[in-house]
Amino acid sequence: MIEVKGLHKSYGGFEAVKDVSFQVAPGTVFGFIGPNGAGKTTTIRMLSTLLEPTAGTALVDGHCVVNYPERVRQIIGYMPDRFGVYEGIQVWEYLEFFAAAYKLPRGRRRAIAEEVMELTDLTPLKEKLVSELSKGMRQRLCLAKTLIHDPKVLILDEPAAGLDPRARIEFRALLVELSRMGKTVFISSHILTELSGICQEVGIIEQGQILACGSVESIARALSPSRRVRIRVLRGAAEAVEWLKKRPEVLEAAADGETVRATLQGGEEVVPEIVKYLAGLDVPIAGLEQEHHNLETLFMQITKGAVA
Amino acid sequence: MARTDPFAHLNPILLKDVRAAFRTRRFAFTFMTYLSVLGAVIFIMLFVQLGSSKNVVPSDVGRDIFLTFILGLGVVTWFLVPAFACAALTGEREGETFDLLITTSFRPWDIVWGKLLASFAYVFVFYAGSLPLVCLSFLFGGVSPGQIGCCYLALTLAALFVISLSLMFSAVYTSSKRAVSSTYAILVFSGFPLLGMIIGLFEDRGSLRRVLAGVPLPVFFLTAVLYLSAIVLCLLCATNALKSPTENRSTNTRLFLCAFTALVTALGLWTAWEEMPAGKDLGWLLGIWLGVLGGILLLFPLLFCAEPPQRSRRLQFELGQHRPVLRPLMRLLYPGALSGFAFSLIWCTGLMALTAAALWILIHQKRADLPLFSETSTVGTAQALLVLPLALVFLLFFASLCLLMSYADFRTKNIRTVMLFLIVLSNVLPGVILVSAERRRADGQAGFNLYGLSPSFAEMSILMPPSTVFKDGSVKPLPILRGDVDFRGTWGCLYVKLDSPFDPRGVMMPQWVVAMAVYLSLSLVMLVLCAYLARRRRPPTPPEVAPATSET
Ligand SMILES: Nc1ncnc2c1ncn2[C@@H]1O[C@H](COP(=O)(O)OP(=O)(O)OP(=O)(O)O)[C@@H](O)[C@H]1O
Ligand SMILES: [Mg+2]
Repeated sequence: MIEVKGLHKSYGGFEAVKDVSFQVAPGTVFGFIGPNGAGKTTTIRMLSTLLEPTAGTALVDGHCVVNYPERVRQIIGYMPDRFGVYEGIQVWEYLEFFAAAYKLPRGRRRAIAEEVMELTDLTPLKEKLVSELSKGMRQRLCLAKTLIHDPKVLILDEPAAGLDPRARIEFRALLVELSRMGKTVFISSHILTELSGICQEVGIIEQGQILACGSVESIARALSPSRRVRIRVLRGAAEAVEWLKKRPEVLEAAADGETVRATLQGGEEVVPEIVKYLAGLDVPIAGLEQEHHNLETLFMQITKGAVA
Repeated sequence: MARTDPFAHLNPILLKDVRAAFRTRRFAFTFMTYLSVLGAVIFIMLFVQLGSSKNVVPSDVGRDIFLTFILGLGVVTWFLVPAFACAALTGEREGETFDLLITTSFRPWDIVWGKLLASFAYVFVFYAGSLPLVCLSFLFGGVSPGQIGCCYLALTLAALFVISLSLMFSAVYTSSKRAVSSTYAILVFSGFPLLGMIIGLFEDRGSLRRVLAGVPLPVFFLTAVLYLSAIVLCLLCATNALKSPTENRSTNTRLFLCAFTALVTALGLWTAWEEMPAGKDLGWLLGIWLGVLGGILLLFPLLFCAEPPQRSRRLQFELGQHRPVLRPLMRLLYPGALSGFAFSLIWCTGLMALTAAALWILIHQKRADLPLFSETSTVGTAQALLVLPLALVFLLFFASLCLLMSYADFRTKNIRTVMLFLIVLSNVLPGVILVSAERRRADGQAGFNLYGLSPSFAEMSILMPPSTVFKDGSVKPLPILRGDVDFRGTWGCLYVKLDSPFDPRGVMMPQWVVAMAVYLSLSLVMLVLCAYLARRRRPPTPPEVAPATSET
């Protein structure tokens, strides 16, 4: 749905985006993560036809963003990271204006506006002036605007910034719902908890370069073939550590009170072997837990050291 | 829930802007201030007039009230309108709403049109709001419906002009401040004709009305055409500025300017045809017309030669879609600096040649002299027509300069700004220097001058020869500025002084010859440079176009 190849953008002599390439399949939620100043917004503005790339191509649904911006604009719903609202306009007027701006049929504009207000919980605020809305409410209003023409692709630049925890959870649910409706979602963030769990794929960008791209699992596998386990023992944690360190597949082991943390090399099958080994040594194992890779640890691993 | 919006059929941008603007306190404040100031002025005037003089003519009072009203509206139109019309698009940029607006399905023209309507609605409120006050003038009489109609027409035209100019700068610049200052700068220079015409309608005691009465009909048409075209041109430029760089931002303007210059030429020739036998006042009219035409033709390099040299992939594709017969023509009309250069020169040369031929025939048919700038001097036909090739040389120069800058990868906006300054400066600055430096030169300090290098001065040097054969047979320098100075050096010649300021052995050469030589050689040098830059330029790697599906 989105195809980016060798995208470059330089501001004067400064290269904000260098050779960025990725693909987003139809119907997936793609998380675009990176620290501040990584080039997320720059990439997104190029995808949304607002910024001309210095080099490279970007296609949305097969349409080139540089050569056919007007076609791309009808396909995407774009939500910028920073945006203003008009003074003196009420919420429903605002949404009807954008319904007209997307050239929806006259008779249906009202109904569609009601629908998206329902979807984004804006119905109670319908008659409020948009300039009097709080930041989170504006955020929801902008999301409502983004949905108004039922776009195939949503491009959201830090959409959850400024939302309270409850709204954040609701927002995630909304994203899942939209993705189930078959929309492709491209969402940028530096808040990882916001993305973990809803993104099928992620791209990690730092200093204008893509460091990793793909599903969370595949990135994890590529990154570290090792796995971390937590073994809870009833007693003798220190001895267990000593014994563990003698095994070749154990890279690292440390005791933490009653818990032993170990990093194991190899596939899933090493875990039962270790259990058997410890049991044979009479270590009373109360429980074992494999640590799952989450986005946060991945992110920290990938971007470690690269920060300027 | 099924309540329908009574305004749903209105233009959405108009609706949004009107709602937003009229609900603010600032608008109410501006409007009330305007009304109270206008009201106060009119009442004070009434008071003074009715109180002081012994024999007040009611119709005079009525006319004065109406004139005040019109002036009030004129001030609003000229000074208040740019203040908000310039914010139409830059305001959206500054308020960070522009990105949301531009990524909708609105095409650039939808946005410009909506903003034009919205700004006009704003002006209309001021016009309508002052109606109760103008009704006062009917109490006294003295104003005819025709005059009111004319005033309203002129005001509407002026408002449209101001709004379109503001919209153009609002679309081109990103900050309101720059848009407003540019608009005011242009309005200051272009406002006088319109203001003059409005006042002229009423000034029956003075001479303006008599002068206007002597002006032939086509000149009024010409003025109207100029203003209307300025409106269309500004709107076209605003629309093109909102398009993405890969879109066709040039063909519409090129076609429009062709039609427009053809019309201006036709009107000029019509004037010449109508007025030729009358002889006397034709000279200055023809001079002004040639000046206007020359000024308009300078728009061609400014607009088209400054475009980026390369066409986008999209444009190349669209060009290929035209029928093979039309393709050479379309190549000329499509964007691109080189095509702009060729287009400008071909069209301007053709137009000038036609004009020269038509004038030549006209003059010979009517056996008319061409009295220019002075009722007692005459200029030969051939000499007067020399203005045209000279204008072409200047055009070639400016076009080559634009082309060179474009090939040197200057930004289009920067090229246009530089060129605008250069054109204005080269035409105006010598006049300023001339007036301030003339005395010193007459004292024998300066040997020769370079005024001829200014386009306007070089052309004037043709129309105002260094010495003139008067009707009584005497030969004298033209008495144009102060009488004690020899103006040969200024107007007519490159004057190299030998011994004394008035030494007849001074080497003289007509300035236009020098100008032609200098500008032609400069143009040639620049064109050679362009060719070099074009060859050195690597073929660009434009962003690839999507596979065939996206092209259909
Ligand atoms: N208009 C501009 N002119 C010059 N440099 C810019 C411009 N916009 C962005 N940059 C630079 O480009 C780099 C990337 O900026 P960008 O806004 O894309 O970062 P980001 O990933 O969105 O960061 P954040 O998480 O803070 O939003 C930054 O170093 C920034 O300074
Ligand atoms: Mg950002």
